[in-house]
Parts: sequence; C-alpha cells; structure tokens
Amino acid sequence: MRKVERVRRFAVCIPLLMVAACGSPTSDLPTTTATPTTDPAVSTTAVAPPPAFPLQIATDNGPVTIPAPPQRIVSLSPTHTEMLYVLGVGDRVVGTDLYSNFPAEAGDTPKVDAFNFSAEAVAALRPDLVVLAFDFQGELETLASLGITAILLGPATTLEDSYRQLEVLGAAVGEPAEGARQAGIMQAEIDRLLGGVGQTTGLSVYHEVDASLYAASSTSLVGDIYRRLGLKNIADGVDPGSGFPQLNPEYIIGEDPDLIFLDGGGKETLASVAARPGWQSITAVERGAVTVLDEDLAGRWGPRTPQLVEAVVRALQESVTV
Amino acid sequence: MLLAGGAVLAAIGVASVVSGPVGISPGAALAEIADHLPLLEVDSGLTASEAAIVWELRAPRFVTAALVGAMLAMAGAAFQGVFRNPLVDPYLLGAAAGAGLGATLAIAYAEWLPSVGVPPAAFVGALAAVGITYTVGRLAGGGNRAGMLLAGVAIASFFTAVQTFLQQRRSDSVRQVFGWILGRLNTVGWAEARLLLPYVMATAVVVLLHRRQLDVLAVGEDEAEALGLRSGRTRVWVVIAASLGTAAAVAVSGLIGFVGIVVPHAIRLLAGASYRVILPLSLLGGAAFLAVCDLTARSLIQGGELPIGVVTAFVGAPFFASLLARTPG
Repeated sequence: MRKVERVRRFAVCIPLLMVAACGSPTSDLPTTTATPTTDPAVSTTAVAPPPAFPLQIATDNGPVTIPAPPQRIVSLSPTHTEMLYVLGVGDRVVGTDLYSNFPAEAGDTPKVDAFNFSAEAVAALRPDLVVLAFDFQGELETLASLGITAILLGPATTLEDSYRQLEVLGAAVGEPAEGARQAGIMQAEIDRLLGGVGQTTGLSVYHEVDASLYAASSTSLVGDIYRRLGLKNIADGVDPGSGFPQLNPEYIIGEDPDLIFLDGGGKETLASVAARPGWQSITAVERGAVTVLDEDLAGRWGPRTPQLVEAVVRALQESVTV
Repeated sequence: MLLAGGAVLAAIGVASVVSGPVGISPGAALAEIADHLPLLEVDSGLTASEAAIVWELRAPRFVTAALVGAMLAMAGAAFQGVFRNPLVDPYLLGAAAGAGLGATLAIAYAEWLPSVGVPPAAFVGALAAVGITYTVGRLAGGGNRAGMLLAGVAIASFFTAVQTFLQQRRSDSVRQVFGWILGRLNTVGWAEARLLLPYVMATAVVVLLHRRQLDVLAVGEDEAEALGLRSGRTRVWVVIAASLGTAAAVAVSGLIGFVGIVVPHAIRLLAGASYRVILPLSLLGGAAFLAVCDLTARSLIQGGELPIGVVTAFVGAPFFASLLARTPG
C-alpha cells in the first residue's frame, strides 16, 4: 500500500515542476555506515563486540546520535518496518504507520498516520527511536523539539542504497552484525538472480507508475534493477532528475519498449494497456510482455526486494524465450 | 473577426497534429487526417502505429483541448456578464470547486458509475456551489462586487476542503483523483471528446441565445428591467448553462485555471465590450488558447509532459495581475 507514499511524492513534486529531485534526498550523502563514536575500531566482524552507545550514525538527516539501544521503536515507513522485523527487533517496535502490513504482526502494532503526521500521536507511544522515509512537513524538526531521536532514510534509488539502509538501521538499534548479515543475504540473493540472466542487450523497458503515464527512470530503485539487467529505460531520456517523469503517450509508442512493467497500484493490466489507442503496435504489448508487479514490492526497498528482482527476472526470461 | 479566429484555430490544429516526439512527416500526418474526413480517401503511407499516433493521440487531444478551452472561456464570459463583474470566472465563483467535489464523489464513492456519469455529478456540484455563492453574494448586497467575490472564495474553499477530506478517507482512489485535480489532457482520446461535445453544444447554444440580454444587463439591472428584460430568468438560464459547461470541462480534464478569465478579457481588449462579440469570440479564443497551451505542455520537454494547469497559469497569472492593477475601484 505504498501508493499513497507515491501520491504524496507527486503532491510535493508536481507543484514544484519537478525542479527539485523529490524523493531522493539520499544521493548526495556519504555512504558510510554506522561508526561508533567511542571506538572507531569496532567493525561488523563475525563476533561483534556489544555496540557502544551513545552511537553516532550517518542518516539522510545527517549524523544522529543514538544515546542508548532503542527499546521503543516507531516506524513511519513500511520499508523500515520490514527491515526492523528482519533484524529481529520486531518485539521492540511499538508503533507503525498505516501502510506497514508486513510481516503480519507489524499490522497489529498501534498505528499512526505518516502522511497526516501528528507529533502528539507519535509521542504518545513514548518512542526512543522514530524511523521516517519522508520529511514532508518538518516532522524531523517537530520530533527533535520533543526530544525524540529520529532518523530519516529516504527512498533508495539504488540497490546499494537499500543494503546500506539495512546496515545503518541495524547499527541504530544495536544490532550491527545482524544488519550487515541481512544486507549480505539480500545482496547475495539479488546478485544470484541478476547473474542468472543471459544477454539482454538491446531490450528496452517502460515501467509505468500510474495510468497518467508517470514512469520510473533509472534514478529509482526499480530503475536500478532494470539498469543492472542491461535494459534500456525509455524514461531516462525525459527524466529531469525526479526519478518519476511523466511521459507523452506518443513518445512511449515511438520508443516501442520490449518490456512493460505496471505498478500494481493502478488497475491497469495487459488488456487495458492493449486497449489504449495506438498501443497495440508496441512490441511488449504484441508479445504479451506486460507484467503487473506487486505494488508493495515495487514501492519498497527492503528485505523483500529480492522478490521484486525475481519477478522482473522471470518476466524478462519469459519474454526473451517467447 | 470570427473568420480570423477560425483560421488561427485551424492553424493550431494543423500544428498540433504534425508535431510530436515521433518524427512523422507533416504531409503524411495531414493526409492521415484527411483520410478520416468524410468523402475523402487519401493514402497517407503511414504505418498502423504512426496512423494511430496521428489519429488516436494527436487529433483527439487537440479536439478535447479546444473543446475544454472553448467551454471554460465561454463560461467565464457568461459569468462575467451575468454578475456584471469582470473579475469573476468559474474558479472564483466556486463552480469548478463544486464540479471537483461532485466528480470526486462520483469517482471515489460510486465505482459502479460509468465514466459518462461523472459530468452530471460534476454538474450538480457546480450548480450547488454557484447557487450558494450567488445567494450569499446577494445577501452581502446586490451590486457589491467584493461581496460576490468573497462569497465565491469562501464557497470554493469550503467545497475544496470537503473534497480533500473525502480524498483522504478514500486513499485507494486518491491517485486517480489527484491526477485529475492537476488537470490532464495527456491521456484523452476520442471517448473524452465525444463525452464533451453534447455539453459544449448545449451550453454554447443557450449562452449565445442570451447574448443580447447580457448586453442589456450590462447597462444595469434597473435599466434592464425598465427595458422589459426579465433579468432573473436570463440569469438563471445563463448560470445553468455556464455551470454545465464548466462541469463537463472539469469532469474531462480536471481543474485547468485561468482560461475563463484570461480569454474573455483579451477578447474585450481586442474587440470591445459587447457580449454579442465577446461570447462567440471567447468560444474560439478559448479553444485556441488551451490548444496552444497543451501543445506547449507536450512540446517543452521532448517526450515528456508538463501539467497543463502550469502552462495556463504561467500565462494567465501575470495577465490577471495586470488586469487587477488596471481595474478602477
């Protein structure tokens, strides 16, 4: 259910004429992972010593000091909820946003609305750590004024970025070894899936975010997956940097993509796409290489991203062999 | 003047069907259009895909933009005449916000409703909003311009608030509603043009039939009554027709600002203050203005799109500001 996240992203982006690179506050930041302030020699080796708190970690809102291992965590982002549970600290999650629906037990935690942010509702859960993916309305500042430690980890635009976030979050909750281990598992699985794909050179892809023809370019997580698979993303020629440019229908037909991926959020299908005027002649439509992706998988950048990669790889292999 | 307007519109139409990110020779594109006209059989030599681009994408987009522009501009001119206030437009009176609420209700809460049901729902909303604005504006003092405008602002805000609330309650369809609010012409086809046409015809006929009455009304309400005009009846018919036109345009293309105020005033500056001239020319001028804006919206970023409302406001806002600066009292 991240469609609302996306809507909000548009809500912020579009009025700004997409001048600002909305939704990608991460790109300019150093990719350093957690570094304990007291003992720089500590690293995530097999036998990790207990992490030393207070601990400074690099987040998208700059370096944040975590005073002690968090015991009451509120996640305002479905991606980071999934990460917290895979890190094994689900029992310390005392609240999640309305769209955190995975794993199932996350759905049972007390809910707060991340998009109509109420600092008081969050404070009522008495968190010692709040994790956010967006800072729309000065949420960080408000939480800081209440003395609540908060970290921002914005939407990942590359696979590396999502591995890094898992490590950062692991460190932040006092489980750096598990963070590194889970990031490694995720990366190994994705590398295995990507490595199993043969020659794809020359194939082009169109990833439709919604029926008003917003597309995902290579400056997005799913775009990064296409890029690594050697696919040419037709949205790249148009993207001013937002990651989600709006395309002209004629341009899409002219680019004649070999593969089309549809976000599950809309109600679009192969049949509805084929029914659009002029779209029947697109190679992907002719060959039926139109795949509906699970909207939760496609919109998050967490431990289930390997499943997204798997769905993309499967669609690619089917369309190449057909 | 009408002929010149028609020629300009036709030229924009030609420019719209020959330009786009896919390189299709202008001659072939025009031949393809000609082939679809009655009694003509022309072989454009285009592939099926190119033919679809010209006839299924470019042509209906131009036609829909022209119809929406014509409707918004004429509704604006009509509202200005009825309320004897040069600063009103479908937006300031709350008609568009009302149409927006009606359409939102139809899209988000009546999923069984086919898309032809959206314009009537928008119409009901538009009429309700204008009715309330008018009533409140009258209570604030009949001839008081500020009263009518302030009432419009209040009603529009209220309807927008209700609409926003409903959207947030129904997040599943919020994206659809949201895209629609920004104004969209990029995915329209012949279906939208066909949906719009009867409303445009009905509105244009009713409003044009009242062009003389609007001129009489412009002299002043008491004078109009003295001349034997039943001003109340004129007002009701024109308001209903203009609201219907606004609602249909809004239902198809979303909220596109400034057409309703920019175009009638440009026409006034060029051709004088008589509604016999302003109304038909607003129809043509609105069509031309929005078609040009849409052409700009899809040409500025090669292969991409700008929201149409951004283009119209970019031209319209400075114009409105200079108009305000020059309007006495």
